[in-house]
Amino acid sequence: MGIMVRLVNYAALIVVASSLAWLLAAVTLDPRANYAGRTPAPPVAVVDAALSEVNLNDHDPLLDRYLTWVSGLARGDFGRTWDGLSVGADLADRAGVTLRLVTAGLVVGALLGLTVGTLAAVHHRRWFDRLSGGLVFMLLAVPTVVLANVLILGTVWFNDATGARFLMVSGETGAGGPFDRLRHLVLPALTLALPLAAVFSRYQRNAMLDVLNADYVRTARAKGLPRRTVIVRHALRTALIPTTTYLTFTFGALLVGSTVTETVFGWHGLGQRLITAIQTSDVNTVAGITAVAAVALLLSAVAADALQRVLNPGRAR
Amino acid sequence: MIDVTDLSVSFGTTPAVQGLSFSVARGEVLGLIGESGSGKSATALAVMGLLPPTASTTGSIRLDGEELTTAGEKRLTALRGRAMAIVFQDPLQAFTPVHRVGAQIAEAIRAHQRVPRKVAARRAVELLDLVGIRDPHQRARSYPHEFSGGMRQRALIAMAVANRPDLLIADEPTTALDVTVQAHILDVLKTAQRETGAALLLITHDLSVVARAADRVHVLRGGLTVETGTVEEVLRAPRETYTKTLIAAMEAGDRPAAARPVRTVLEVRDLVRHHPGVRAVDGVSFDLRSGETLGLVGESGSGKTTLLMEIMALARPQRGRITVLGRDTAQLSRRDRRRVRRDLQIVFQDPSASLDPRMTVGAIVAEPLLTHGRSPGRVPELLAQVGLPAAYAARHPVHLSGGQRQRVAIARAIALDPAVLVLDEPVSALDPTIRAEIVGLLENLRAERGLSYLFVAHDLPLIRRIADRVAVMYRGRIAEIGPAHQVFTAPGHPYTRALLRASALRDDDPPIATGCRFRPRCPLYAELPAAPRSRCVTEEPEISGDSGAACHHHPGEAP
Repeated sequence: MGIMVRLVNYAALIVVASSLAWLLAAVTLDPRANYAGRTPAPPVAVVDAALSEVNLNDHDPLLDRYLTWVSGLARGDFGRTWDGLSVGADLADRAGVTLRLVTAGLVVGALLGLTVGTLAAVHHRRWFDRLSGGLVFMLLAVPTVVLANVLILGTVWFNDATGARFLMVSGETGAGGPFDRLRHLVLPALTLALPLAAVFSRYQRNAMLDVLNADYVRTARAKGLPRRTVIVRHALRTALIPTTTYLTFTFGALLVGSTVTETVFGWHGLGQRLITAIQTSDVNTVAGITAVAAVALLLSAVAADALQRVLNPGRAR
Repeated sequence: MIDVTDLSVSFGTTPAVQGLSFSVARGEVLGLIGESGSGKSATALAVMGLLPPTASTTGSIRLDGEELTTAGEKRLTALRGRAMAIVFQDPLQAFTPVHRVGAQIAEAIRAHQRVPRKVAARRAVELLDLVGIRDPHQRARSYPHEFSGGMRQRALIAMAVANRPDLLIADEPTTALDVTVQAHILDVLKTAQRETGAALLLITHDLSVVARAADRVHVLRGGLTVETGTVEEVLRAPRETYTKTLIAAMEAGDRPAAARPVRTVLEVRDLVRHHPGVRAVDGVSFDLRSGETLGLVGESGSGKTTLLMEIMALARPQRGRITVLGRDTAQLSRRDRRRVRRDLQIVFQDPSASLDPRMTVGAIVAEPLLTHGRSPGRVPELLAQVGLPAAYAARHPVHLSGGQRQRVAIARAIALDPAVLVLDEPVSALDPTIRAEIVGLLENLRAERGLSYLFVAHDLPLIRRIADRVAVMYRGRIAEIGPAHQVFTAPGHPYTRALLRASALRDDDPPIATGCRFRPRCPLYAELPAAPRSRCVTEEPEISGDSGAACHHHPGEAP
């Protein structure tokens, strides 16, 4: 299939996914509720006008509202929140924040998971395998919010004990500058990375166990290659093929799925915004975030495909 | 060169090899023969020091005087690939799939010799050339899956001899290959051995391979040595009954020729099945009569399986016609198709893959009966017919041996009293002695029930023993068809002749668009003068007259 055909398909999928999200949100959410608790209650006409202004008035026909939204989307305009702010600008900010967090978490999680998984497979049923297996199951059993708070408590204790204040436990940036950002990034990134690493390591361990028994690994040993070369160049190299696909798709899912981490560490990211948008019935924000998630997922698909081509060359697809 | 004394290998408490002693001198070929589970491969791995850590070894293995059983991993790594090398059986997986073949051979060279990358790469190309791979420059840049089975096996040999080892072990080097390619590989192996002067340990379950290539032979059974001697001694005058069974399985007697029955049960006319880019079945015609066995032979990729699947589909073929018991499959309604299916059943090659591991034997055999609304009360009777105790109905396939599983598959196939049984390599996954039992069972069933068999196999002696008629397939067409004794004693097609003699034919030729598709490999074509040759280039030969061979120049045909 040609690249162009695939891209067109992807674009169509993004439009369909965000349209469905918009429709679902438009039917179920009630932006009018934002005015309900006010004293004195604003006149209905004023509320109607305000809602119509941002295309959120449930008294306007659904189809008209949808067409307004779609035509805006076609011009790159994601619409407005109920209080009149631009959804596009808001999401752009937040996407940047989440992207930094998720990228860091994913890279650390992947490297850690692949390393632990590979070593566990190589030392199958020996102490490292058992120990890492135990830790993995413990990490998977602990909810993110608990893990995050344990990390925070540990850091606070460490800071108090040493008097140093290297790692920051809240917020995304303080004084500014790359170093400061890094100090804020470490804990939330670890909170994301550790459970990811736990899952990846199990995948990688299984993939490695499969290939370590493969005939070609035996052939490589029979050639007289040193053990390390056999493991890295023949076994690990092949075992990466299934694992990377899983890894790439995780990226797309994480983009709106790291809500808890964002909330605990006070990062104003996409996942957190999705929750508040549902609370304030911001139909356009919900649809916008869905669109971003869809784009991220499809970019992951493209990346997975590209990685497969690199890792598994010569295969007919 | 290699001296093995009193070698025993066991996995946990299960012994794999017991008290094995043999030696191979420089330039000598020792054949190590036995069925699966006889300890052949464990021996090879023990010599290479590649046994899994769960195995324990006693006894002594000396390579050039150096004791290997006590050698450290570091020393073994240095010896592997340089002093001793192994050619594994290739079920597609012996090369790492993600690296180019040339690079993998060069890697073997650089593991033991301090040479620059470029020199190693050039040497890899030379080695591919040595083992007879055409266009080695191009081929060195291919990935393993782009090679045919025969080419991969040759490339493995190239890799094994890359560092001129003193000992070369070949573990079932030809098992996965077609007869004509097998012969070629054995020639290559012997050439490589001659070039390097290595001692060759040839491990196989196939007596004909030993007969063709070995000087001495060592027969193993259940981890114990049964018999040893020179190839002539053992093959001519085997002392042990086990060796005799092996030899009997290799030799074939003809079936007595009989008049063909009248009633046609299966008729295929000009059947065509093209997949994109592959003309898998390209105009095949034959008929099968009641009570007859038609043997279908041909190398892998010749279209046998596609042909069977087209018949089993009971649907309208792409082109041509299939008639089962007088009914054209293109005209069948859903109901009729169900009814016809009862009369046409199949037994597959690998019984461990074709039986649902979660079902009991009883449930497996009862399933066709229940599907067609009959009582499952016949299950014990069916099991008895295939020689299994009724108590086996409660067991699961994993608890049966390979031969017993194939008996279950046969019981399932005959449950609905079919008229035609399609047998797709039904015994090729089994050991020779078990194979003989299953073949005997099939023969009895045919006699008792008047079944007709469409029997696919690549084992020619077997086909000769059980088939009334034989069809030889080549690249989607039938090259020759006729009564078994005629095809085997007076083959008309040069391809049949090559198959029967197990002559070496190349396996890496391009497919041919027009004219005779066997042309690039045809020994007859190679010797023809220019004038008669042109007919082979322009005109696709059809099966003609009594001879039944699709060749323009076979003996029965005017030149």
